[in-house]
Amino acid sequence: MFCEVFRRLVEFGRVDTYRYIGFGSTFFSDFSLFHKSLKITNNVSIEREIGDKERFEFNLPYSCIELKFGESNEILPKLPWDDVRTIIWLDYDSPVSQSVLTDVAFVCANASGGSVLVVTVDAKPDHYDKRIQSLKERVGEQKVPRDLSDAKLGGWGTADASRRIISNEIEATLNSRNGVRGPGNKFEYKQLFNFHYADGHKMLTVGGILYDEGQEDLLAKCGFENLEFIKTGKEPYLIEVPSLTLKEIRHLDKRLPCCDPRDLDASWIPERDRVCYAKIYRYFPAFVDAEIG
Amino acid sequence: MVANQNDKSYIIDARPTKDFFIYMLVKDIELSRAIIDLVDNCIDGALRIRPDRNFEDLYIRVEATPNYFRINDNCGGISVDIARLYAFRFGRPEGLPSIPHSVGQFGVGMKRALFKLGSKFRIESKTETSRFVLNEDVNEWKNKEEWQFQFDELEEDLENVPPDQRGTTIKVTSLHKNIAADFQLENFINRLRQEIREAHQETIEKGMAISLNGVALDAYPLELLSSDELQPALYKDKIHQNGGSVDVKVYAGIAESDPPKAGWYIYCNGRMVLGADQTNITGWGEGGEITIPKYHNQFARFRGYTFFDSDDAGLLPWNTTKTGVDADSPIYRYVKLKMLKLMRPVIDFLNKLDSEKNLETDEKPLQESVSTATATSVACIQTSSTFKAPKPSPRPPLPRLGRIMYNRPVEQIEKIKKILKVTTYKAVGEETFDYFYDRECEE
Repeated sequence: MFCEVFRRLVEFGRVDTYRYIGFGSTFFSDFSLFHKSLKITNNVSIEREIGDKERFEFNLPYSCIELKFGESNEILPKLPWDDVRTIIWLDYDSPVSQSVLTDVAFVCANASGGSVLVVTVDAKPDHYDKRIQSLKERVGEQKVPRDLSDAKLGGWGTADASRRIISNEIEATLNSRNGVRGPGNKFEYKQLFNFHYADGHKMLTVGGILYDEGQEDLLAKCGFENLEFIKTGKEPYLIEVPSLTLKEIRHLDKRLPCCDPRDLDASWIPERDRVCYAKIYRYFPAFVDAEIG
Repeated sequence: MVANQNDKSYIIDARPTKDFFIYMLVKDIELSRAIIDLVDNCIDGALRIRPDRNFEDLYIRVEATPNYFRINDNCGGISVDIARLYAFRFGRPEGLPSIPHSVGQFGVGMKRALFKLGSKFRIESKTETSRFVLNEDVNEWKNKEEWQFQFDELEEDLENVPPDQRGTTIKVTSLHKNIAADFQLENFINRLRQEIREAHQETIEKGMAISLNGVALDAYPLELLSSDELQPALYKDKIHQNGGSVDVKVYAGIAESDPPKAGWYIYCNGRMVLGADQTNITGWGEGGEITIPKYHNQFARFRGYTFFDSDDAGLLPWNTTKTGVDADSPIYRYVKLKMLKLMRPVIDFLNKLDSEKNLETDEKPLQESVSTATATSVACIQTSSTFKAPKPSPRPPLPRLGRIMYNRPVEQIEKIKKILKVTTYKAVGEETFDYFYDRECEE
């Protein structure tokens, strides 16, 4: 899905001239994907576990990925930010916290126009009577919206609140950045992603594009809104992972795309799985059969 | 019946009173700062005659004694026209010819300082073509209805007054009791000397001879440690606003370890408005201390210098007493983002430098880099877009440690001590923890 969006950034400049910053972990799957599909060669992977340095270096899939060891809060200010359009995916495995907001604010204060910021955080609700308290501890009382309650943070409520808190941080930072810019020259953020993803564990991915008001026509040309998973407001795009066998996947693929997945000739597959597979089949990871034993 | 709005009963009196200026306005400023305002005015005079900011052969002499206060300069003088129409107005009137890079922006400094100091003042000023003398007794002036001062002597259309005679002398007598008492204190005079020096180090550096009670103030250049491997960060920008522009320069780096001197220094048109700041105004403690920690003495080497320069002093983010920044101004909020960006790598470096102290190794590359770097004036320092520093020596990764503390009955602890054959509570804690971990947690 990200690739489909990032390809459209070509209106702002050749996509292979973008820099990609991510937290590769030992798999570097995002880096491999973006290098292969978008030909991005300026890659920076931030790794906090310096103790596993050799392992990270061994697992580097391509030569064009630079490893930086340390906390993202510490590494981001050391990177060059002028005149480089960046796609940055802050893929945390923790919930929203001040540390997350520090990175978000940094990117919004320093990224150049046409850059894309994506943030993934854990959105699993805390224990039912400690949600507000723990949110306050993590982001500070001033940043917790007043209308929230423990109950409202249940279900996908924590994801919604996390999106609001991240969006507020983006707006506040851009406000400071924009004070010295004249009308028509302001720096703006347009949300593109608001994924609610649950594969046993609720996660939120929120993000969008940072651009100069003067680039509005370029943004319009990108036509992001034509992609059905683009969500520019509080309404999320729910990604559910269907439970299917490989044989079932091949069976469904042969019949896709189709108008109404409920009509798919596969009555033995639960309708919910059919519908949700039809939504995301183009982005579903490909598997290979392996003979074992 | 609706009253006619031209009716006098519709008019609300909002005229200012003289008392407000004489007694209230002066409360907003410290004595030393009020005196520095007078020095600012002299410097504005100098800027008018030396727009290139070369102040060689110019002087400002300040005398603060228990009997009188005097400030005397050869910085070009106040013309009769300026005095008549602008210099004594309360607030900055429109139409006042502007001085590029002015430091006396607000049109309150001189009057506020005079009222703060005493109740009688005499001003004598001579320019290339005019001369005036003005004597005023504030107590008498207060009781007059008019908002006017009067020249006692006035000469216009003079010819070729020699440059060394063009200047202004202000003398205040009948000093207020508390002011006279302060001027008697050696500590106060020392503090005033230090503050004038800090506020105007750039002007002194450019050749202005400033003295206090006959003692010349010397400039001390702003310095940062620098070497090939250790380089301060510099951010430069020109910000366009309201038809004018502001040149911004931000330096962040390290210097000698000196807690009272650590922090950010902010200058507007060369005038320091904030010194050694260690508060959130300059970013300390930002983002719940995650973005930048609060100031702590392990950051005693941190120095940041931010310079705002503009032909139009109204665009600069200073407050009216020039004792701080206008933290809400758009330009300061924008530049603060850059200050945070430049500051963070320096803070990370100082944390690593601090933890290097505890290493049991002879190799201390960070300490080494600091001790071999030389203090260099920021005016001619080699900089980099981000703070450049050597990497710490690689060390074997240590597991992250946590600390457990709890209380249990002494009787039970003593029993365990005997069984474990240990003598301290600490050992009891560690052994019992390991006992549990070995049995329940090891895979």
